[in-house]
Amino acid sequence: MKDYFRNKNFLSGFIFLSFIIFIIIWGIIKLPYEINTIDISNKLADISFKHLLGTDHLGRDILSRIMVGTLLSVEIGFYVVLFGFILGTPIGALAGYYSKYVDEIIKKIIDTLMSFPGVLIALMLIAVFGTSAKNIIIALTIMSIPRFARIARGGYYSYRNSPFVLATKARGASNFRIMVIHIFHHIYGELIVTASLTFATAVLSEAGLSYLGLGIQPPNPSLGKMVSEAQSYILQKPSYVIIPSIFIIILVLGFNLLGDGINKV
Amino acid sequence: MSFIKLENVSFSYKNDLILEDISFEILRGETFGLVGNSGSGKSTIALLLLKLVTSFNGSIKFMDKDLSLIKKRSDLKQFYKDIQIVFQDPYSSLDSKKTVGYLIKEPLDIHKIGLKEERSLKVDKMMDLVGLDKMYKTSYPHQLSGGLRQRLAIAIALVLEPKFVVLDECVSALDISIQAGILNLLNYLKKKMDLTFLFISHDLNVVGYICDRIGVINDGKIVEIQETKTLFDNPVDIYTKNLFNNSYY
Amino acid sequence: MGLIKYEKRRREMNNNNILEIKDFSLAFNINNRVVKAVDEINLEIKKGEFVALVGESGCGKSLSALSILSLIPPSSKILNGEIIYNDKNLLALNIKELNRIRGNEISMIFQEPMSALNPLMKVNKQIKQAIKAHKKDDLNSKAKIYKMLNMVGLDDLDRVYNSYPHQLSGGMRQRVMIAQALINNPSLLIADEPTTALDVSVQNQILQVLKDMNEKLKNAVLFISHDLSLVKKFSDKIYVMYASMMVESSTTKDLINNPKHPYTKALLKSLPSVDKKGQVLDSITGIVPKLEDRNNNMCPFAPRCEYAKEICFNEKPKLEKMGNSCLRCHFAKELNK
Repeated sequence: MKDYFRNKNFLSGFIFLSFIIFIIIWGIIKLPYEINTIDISNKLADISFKHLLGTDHLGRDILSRIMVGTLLSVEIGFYVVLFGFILGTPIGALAGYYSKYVDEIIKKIIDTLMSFPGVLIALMLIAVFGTSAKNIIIALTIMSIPRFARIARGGYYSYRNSPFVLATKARGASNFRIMVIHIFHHIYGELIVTASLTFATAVLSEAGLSYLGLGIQPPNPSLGKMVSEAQSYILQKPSYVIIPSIFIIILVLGFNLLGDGINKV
Repeated sequence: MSFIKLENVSFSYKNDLILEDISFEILRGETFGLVGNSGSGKSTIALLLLKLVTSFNGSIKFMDKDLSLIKKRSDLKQFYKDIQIVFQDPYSSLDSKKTVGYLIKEPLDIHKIGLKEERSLKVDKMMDLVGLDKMYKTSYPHQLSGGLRQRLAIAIALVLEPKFVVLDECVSALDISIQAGILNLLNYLKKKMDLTFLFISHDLNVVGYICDRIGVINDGKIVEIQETKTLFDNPVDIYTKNLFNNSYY
Repeated sequence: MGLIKYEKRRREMNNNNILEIKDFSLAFNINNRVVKAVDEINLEIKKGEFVALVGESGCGKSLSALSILSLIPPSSKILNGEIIYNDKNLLALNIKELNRIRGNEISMIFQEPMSALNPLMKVNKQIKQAIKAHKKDDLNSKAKIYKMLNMVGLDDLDRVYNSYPHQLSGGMRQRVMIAQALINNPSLLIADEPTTALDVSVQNQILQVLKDMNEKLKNAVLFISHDLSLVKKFSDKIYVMYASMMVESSTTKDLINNPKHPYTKALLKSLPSVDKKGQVLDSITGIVPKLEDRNNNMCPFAPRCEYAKEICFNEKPKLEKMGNSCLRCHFAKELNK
């Protein structure tokens, strides 16, 4: 454990994400303002004790909207990683562990999925099924499944003929036991790294989609949407656009650094 | 009833003929030695006997049952309770992420032998039998010395109380002062548990000491099979003669 | 005092010794402790003598051999001692002087011929390199190389001469390495477990090559091995090491027939052989102490020795010289009545 914290990347990532968690928990316990209360007379207010991060173009408290938006981003990221892992890992494991036919079929499916850029799949799905958090999660999950499958496949392929696997088979162990109890123990580290990086990508993708107007719909706050709405006011109140951008950066960078750090240790 | 019988076994891998028309028998209760250079095919025979490789020609019978007919789940499980193997490298043949205690208990879990509490006792008994101090139960394989790791490998192979054990170069990687201890242990366990051994090695000293009969294999073919003393005093085949002339014993 | 010591040495050297290792210690810094991997060893090689240095893994035999040519790892420290060759202390030479000796007057061959030979260089080029490095290259080089390849027992010389290492078998590669090591006619060839990685049937052939060369070219050989039964057929003298310490040395005949040190005795007794069939082997309980666990202020074999008394755990045994033999044991005299 100590080795992890000695790694600079892990430590930085950990600090960033701790900050994010702090903001989220604060928002859950005591949200400063209702996120959709419009107060035009107070629009684009400066940073003050009353509004710690100022107000947006409709007078809504930015800090509160950031809190909820960040929570939403994290939730989406979490589900994407969870489903990607649950669905992708077994697919990759089977492809890597079993030879030839199973592998070929699965490889073709994965390659097909990966040939579409994730955002494009998202656009397709959203165009057909409409925008909603659920659809975004489905779209991004489809994008993340191949990532887990690839890593799992590589890992299971490299271990499937190792001497200890052969020896364990000689004791009568079933393939299931070997895959779940033995090989998994050797490769879960790589999967954790993948999870971390996938989280970052999911958050960034959601922000991008929302920025384009295809993600979370107003009036629900989303970091990406806030950036897009703040663009027009960049000269009047630059802090309005900078603040949500910084939060996106901290969130994404946090996961990237964490994943990097775990990888190096 | 024959114990282990190989008849006209041939095996190729990627167009290379590894084993050619191998026939020999192993009698119940003996230690049968298989001697030859690396690449002669002796380790392949070990894999065939344990059904870890199944695509060969000819027949292999264990207690008159043809190995290729053992397919059902239940039959296979019984098979692995009867036949076991100790590999040469006690490090790479063990899962480095599992503890000593877990590794010895696993075969019992796989075959659901006895109740969970009984399995722990069996593990303790096995560790005593092979001379592995119980304090190592929570250690990992890499924390043990070579000799202890080999004792661990032997414990794992014997915890199911098999009838037949293949020992594939199991003392070759050990320091000389440790070899004697392991050889003594094998002889002791053989008597105590009524085992039959196939002892694969390239070391004539070790094979001459521990085996009752010896088969000499060269380039995938069995060239001679004799009782140990007879083979040492009077090797017949020219390859065997060469082997004795070129080795130290 | 210094002058007298030096004179003494010169006289000893003239007495047929070409190499003398005196009280040599090599240490590592492990867990903030200075641990001796080689503990005050003494070793002498006469001209043309075939000497074996035997011990189990981790005893320090390889490090001792590498020290002769100063090929020790940078993290190690020489604590004391000298390695004398031709009236010079090899440990005191600078890199230029060392290079004049390496491959020329003292050569070395290693366990893995595949990693010791350059895989991208043909055989003839590699051997020529050894010749050129010591400025002995002339019009006769090719003939010299052919002669040497023949002497080490290779056939099909044209093919071997033009081959890359991977095109030859393990035994052939080892012969090439021997040829390269002997091409400049060194007075000492150090062989670090040269047969360990080879098939059993090839081991003897390589040993035979070394013995042949030893007889024809009269170079001395220092043969490092873990296998006592292997060296007893070829060596004139055997040194036995255990856990950093030199425990016994003697002529081969004396050591095998009349071992004096408890470790040597126990080792010989524990060797399996067809004559011992049916008997329980005398095994040595315990394990060789790992480097980081070694205490240099006691006899390292004490925990496993059946004759050990209290003094063995508290004091390192001194070196006793008895004629041609050496022994390090507190009870040397008693045990050998």
